[in-house]
Amino acid sequence: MRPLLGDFLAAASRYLDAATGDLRLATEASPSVVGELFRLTAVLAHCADAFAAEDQSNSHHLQDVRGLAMADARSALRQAAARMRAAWGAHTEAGEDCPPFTARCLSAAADNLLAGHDLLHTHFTTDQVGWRHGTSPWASAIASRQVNGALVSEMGGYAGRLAAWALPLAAASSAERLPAQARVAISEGCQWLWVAEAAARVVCHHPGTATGHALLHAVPINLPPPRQSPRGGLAVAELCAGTVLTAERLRHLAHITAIRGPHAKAALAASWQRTAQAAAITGHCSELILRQLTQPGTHPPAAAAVATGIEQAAHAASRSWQSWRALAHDWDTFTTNRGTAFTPVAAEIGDLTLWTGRLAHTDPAWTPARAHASQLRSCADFTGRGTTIAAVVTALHYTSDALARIAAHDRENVRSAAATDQIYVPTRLLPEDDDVPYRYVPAHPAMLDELLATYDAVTEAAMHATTALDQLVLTLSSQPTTLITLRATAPLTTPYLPHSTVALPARSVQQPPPGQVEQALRNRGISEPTLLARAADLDGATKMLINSAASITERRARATHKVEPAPKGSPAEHRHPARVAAKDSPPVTPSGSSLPRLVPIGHQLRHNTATRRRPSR
Amino acid sequence: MKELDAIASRLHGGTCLAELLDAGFDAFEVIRLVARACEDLAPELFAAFMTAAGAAVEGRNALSDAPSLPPATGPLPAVTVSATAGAGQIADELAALAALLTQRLAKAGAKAVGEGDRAACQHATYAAADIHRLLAPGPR
Repeated sequence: MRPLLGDFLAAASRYLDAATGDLRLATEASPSVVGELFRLTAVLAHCADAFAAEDQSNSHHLQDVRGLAMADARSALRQAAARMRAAWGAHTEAGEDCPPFTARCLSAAADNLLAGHDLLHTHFTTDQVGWRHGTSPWASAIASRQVNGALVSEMGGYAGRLAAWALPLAAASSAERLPAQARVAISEGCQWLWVAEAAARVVCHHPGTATGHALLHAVPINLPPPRQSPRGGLAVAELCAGTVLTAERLRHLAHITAIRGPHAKAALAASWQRTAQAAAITGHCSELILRQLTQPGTHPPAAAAVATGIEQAAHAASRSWQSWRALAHDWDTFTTNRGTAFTPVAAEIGDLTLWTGRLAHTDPAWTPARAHASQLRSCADFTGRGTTIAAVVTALHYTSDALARIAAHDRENVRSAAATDQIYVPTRLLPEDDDVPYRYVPAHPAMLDELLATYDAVTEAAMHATTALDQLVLTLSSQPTTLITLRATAPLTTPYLPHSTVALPARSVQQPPPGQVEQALRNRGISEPTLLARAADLDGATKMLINSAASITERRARATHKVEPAPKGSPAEHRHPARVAAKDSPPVTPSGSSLPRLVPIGHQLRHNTATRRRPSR
Repeated sequence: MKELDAIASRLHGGTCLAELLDAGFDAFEVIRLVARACEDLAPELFAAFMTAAGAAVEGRNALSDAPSLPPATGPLPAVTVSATAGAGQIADELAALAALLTQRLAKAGAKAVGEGDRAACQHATYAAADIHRLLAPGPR
């Protein structure tokens, strides 16, 4: 099982409950408790800010209430962290060798939140100038407003629980253990925590946040599920589970291949044909299963909507697999480089065929081979022994979604290969009067247009089939599945985010070195926590400004040497550092521009070795 | 089917590597065409014909890389699948042709002098064996 973010959030919540459950413990204001309070508050701010797509210093452009509330919650958490930091700074005692239970619980809560934060970050990679690029099908969801809203409201909820517990630390009863400055700072920090909680509540009341919460807790670590080939004799429920896992794995592999591009030694034409062929057989099996589910008498009259939904889904599945088959037929004529290996998807898509094939047929060892041709399962097989129609349809839904994504990614890769003359036709397949002294000729543009049109049709039909199954799953289940929520939330694009700017305290609780402004105040004997906190904010803002300026300068220096790819229509087209830098530059003529041209990823030129054959003898 | 008989005769009669490669290329193409034409004959054999056609493309393309493959001299093979022919019977005939192809290509590969020819024959042999495995009837 892959770890989910929800696992870490649940653990953090448990530790927070343990730490804050007994308000009497709050009076044990030891140095380590204050230190861990600061650390946890900083981690909350860090997590809430982690995937903010908006520029934090420019929140005035946020239009709606939810956006403003999210910005307020984030800002309040940062303020709270600054106050807690000041409280910690005012504490003069050294940390204990054996921290109390409360401190250990606070520390464990922070650790779990940080682990969850790291899990989310596995879905992104950071480029040389600090921009984060999505690297998984989940990245768009993580960067979406719904999931961001859920993340902020989750952190705000923790903040409220923490504030209620931490306020007694600032009370007079702990005066002997905490200096007055620290108590004032904690009191102010708690007020900011409450502000964060209040703002988070506004976010939480937004209709999309419930969906976001469900997705947030379901985010897995960015690793494909382990490969599972079906054994013989599995029950229907196990076949459904295996189908879902394999579909998820393929979706992941397709995304990775789309981002990294195919391996130089991949046999592309063979891979694309194998993919189309397996998708056609998988879709055929899906249709057969759905047709079995529409057998008369299967559903009570009250379930007419279900029967209609299954019929529509079967029709859409039929259209989809037939378009995949047309694509496989198209690839009979074309070829590319003679690579030595299949693409990751082509290498494993046969697993999905086996899973759905064994779900559709009675032979427990079904394969596409004629020797294993067998009867179809009856509808009763799908509904007995702990299986429901919903589970079967959900498995087909995951399958259809994976195939739709594979179609979309393959289409772009084929488009790229066509644009760079990497697709050939064996001359032996040309008409007799085409006297060509080579074994292969580049495919004629009209043929390539037809091939790409078939891909368009496949993509459209596959998406239509998935949408039909969306509807069917919603008809069968009262709760939307993770896939339905994910599809509704995350578009098929790669998100780009600015780098995170909230500084995080180190794991070992050491006094952080003050910045220049804060140091200047301290040098003048000023120890007022509020002033010190403002000074720390100024130091932080200065550091951000310097980092930002440095990255722009670095980008400009590189701009004349390198072309940065960015998907067409992605936020990077507007927010890419090169564009940002361009706003500061005087206008220049296109020919004299030193900025890189942003090339859509589907049109990148790849300079693989051409596979033109020598003339036949 | 007479097209299958004709191509089987060519495979039997090929005396040199070039002739066998030429016949092998056409045999794969005939298998592909027939398998494609039969995909809709019986739903239970759809997957078998579909994958067999894909394997035929792989085998045909493998032979395209053989240095000793001569340029095409005649028209492309054409097939006509009779409306009365049963899917099982056609699958049997294709499996038999694939078995012959496997045998002839394996022998040719073993005798081939050039590394390119050997590799092409080996790859095509695997493809032909795949076709046989996919279309041969199971133990009943």
